[in-house]
Amino acid sequence: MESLIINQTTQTPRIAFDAETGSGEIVGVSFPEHANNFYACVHDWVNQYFAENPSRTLHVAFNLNYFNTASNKELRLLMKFLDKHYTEEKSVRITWFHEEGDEDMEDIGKGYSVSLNVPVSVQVV
Amino acid sequence: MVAQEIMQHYTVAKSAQVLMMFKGGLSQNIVVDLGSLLQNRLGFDVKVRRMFGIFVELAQNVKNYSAETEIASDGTEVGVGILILADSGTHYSVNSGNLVRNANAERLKSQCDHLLTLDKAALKAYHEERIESDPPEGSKGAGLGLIEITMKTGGNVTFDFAPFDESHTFFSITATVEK
Repeated sequence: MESLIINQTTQTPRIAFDAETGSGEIVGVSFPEHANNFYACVHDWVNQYFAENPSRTLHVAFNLNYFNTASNKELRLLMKFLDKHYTEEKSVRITWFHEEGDEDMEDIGKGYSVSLNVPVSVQVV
Repeated sequence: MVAQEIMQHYTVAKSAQVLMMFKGGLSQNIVVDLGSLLQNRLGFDVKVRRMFGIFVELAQNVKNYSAETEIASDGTEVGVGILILADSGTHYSVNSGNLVRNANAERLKSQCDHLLTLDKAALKAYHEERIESDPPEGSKGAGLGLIEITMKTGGNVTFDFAPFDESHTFFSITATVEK
């Protein structure tokens, strides 16, 4: 299956999901005009990945240093979506990166590691 | 005459320690460009990012909800308003101002008053409740902007209203964060 690559812009993150390596990353900032449309492609790609590779692992890294409230909501939906795959016996791992001293971003990551079933590792960049 | 007028603008901006000011239609492209300008001036460390987050929410609020609109160069209808970023030396303050219809002003005012009654834990719970629900009717974003601004400033935010004309009220938000 094809990789999903979206280049970073001043308002949207780089998105790179690779079926060969079973890994994906979302890197940068996120405050697009329509955040819900922007992340739909990731949902589609992950669905296809697990449809074609039901027993393989997917490791997703979030490395964002700023997102707006509308993106926050969409990222939460994406997290829950990954969590749903995990609870359906898929192998999913998530790493949530934050900069040293960025407590807002650290707290959001820690919130996910508590509220979700899927393992979320919160790490300093 | 012209110099006198411009000097007045300049003097007001200087005494208010203004770093950046914009008045006009806020398309998404303008929001992004203002954000880049802000980053070019101030960098993008943790403290700046906190202020930047407030700036973007305020700008997108004006864009989505101002009662005064214009057609942007990309053909979309966008809200018109004013954004002012000031640096007091110890704090950044971000101001927004835009028109709202009188019919909506009361509801907005009670929403703002409610936010200011909430402590940190209650704000977090309210944010949690809102992010899990559908956006409020008429909302073009996630309906979280004002909550987030109140949280990020630790309640150091002022919502103010002034009569503008027969059918409109001028709505301003002042949010202050430590540098």
